Amino acid sequence: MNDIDPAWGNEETEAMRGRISPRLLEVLVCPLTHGLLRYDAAAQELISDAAKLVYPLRNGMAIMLVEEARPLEP
Amino acid sequence: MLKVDEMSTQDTHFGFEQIPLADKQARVDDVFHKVASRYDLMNDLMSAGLHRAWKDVMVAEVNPRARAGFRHLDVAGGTGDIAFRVARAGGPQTHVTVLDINGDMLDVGRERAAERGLSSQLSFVEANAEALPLPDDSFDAYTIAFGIRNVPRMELALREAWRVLKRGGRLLCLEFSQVDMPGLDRLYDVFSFKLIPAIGRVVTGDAAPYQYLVESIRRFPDPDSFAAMITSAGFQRARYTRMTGGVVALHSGWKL
Repeated sequence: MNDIDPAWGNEETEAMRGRISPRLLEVLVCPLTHGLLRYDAAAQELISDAAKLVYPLRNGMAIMLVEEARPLEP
Repeated sequence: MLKVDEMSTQDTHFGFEQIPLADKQARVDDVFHKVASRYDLMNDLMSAGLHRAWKDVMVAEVNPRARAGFRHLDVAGGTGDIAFRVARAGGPQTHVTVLDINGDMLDVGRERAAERGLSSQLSFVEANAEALPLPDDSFDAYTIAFGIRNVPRMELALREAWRVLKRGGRLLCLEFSQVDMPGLDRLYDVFSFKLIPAIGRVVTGDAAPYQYLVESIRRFPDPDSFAAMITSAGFQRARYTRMTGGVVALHSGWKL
């Protein structure tokens, strides 16, 4: 099949590609501040500017644990 | 109410051991890393398959068909056992967020969701029940099955549950309780303290995690005390139903 995959963009394919689902990206907030997060797709990280913390994504899984976050460098 | 910084210097329990509060999460993590792949099999063996019936009762109470676009949060349910039931019961309009502090359990759940064709209804996220990475007033229901016992600061987890639920949303908490049937209690003692760690050794190669599980069940507050904790967290109409002679209790409360 050379057609565009009709399932493109749904969570199954996102998960299979090891990427976070767009739906989850929309809903997640910083567990410390409940503020918005910025998604860095290249680095696979979620950035909380308010908490100055960077949460990692591993194989498409958001690790929203303060202990696993690294400090945001200015 | 104790503040977080006051509590951080306190001790907590890990099964029957007293340990520093800060160590509990690491010890619990270790237990679940060891058992992740065999977790559901062990549940079947330990409960003689009854855990399925208990979970079905909880999901029937969730009633995801009640509302189109039902938003459900299942905490400490990494392997997806509750989430799959809610997703199926609610149909394609229901979305379930599965949250667990343990990445191994979530990996098992994500794989199983794909096998069952349910991935589009589920999101998986690694986080702490005491500090949810989710906005206020965003879920129709919150479930936690056999998980609250393992959270070091249960009152924080309950307050977080209240925060992320919508008004009219419901908390459902399934947890081991206190056997209140004469005769069954002694049988239950033998089963849990002798047999469960032995089964754990055979199935997962390690008895220690299951020794912890059994002890932690006995340390869990009695159902009236736990219902009072649910009320303290802000919930209304806290109540519970005992099942199987008190082996488990299904607690609930509403955010009104």
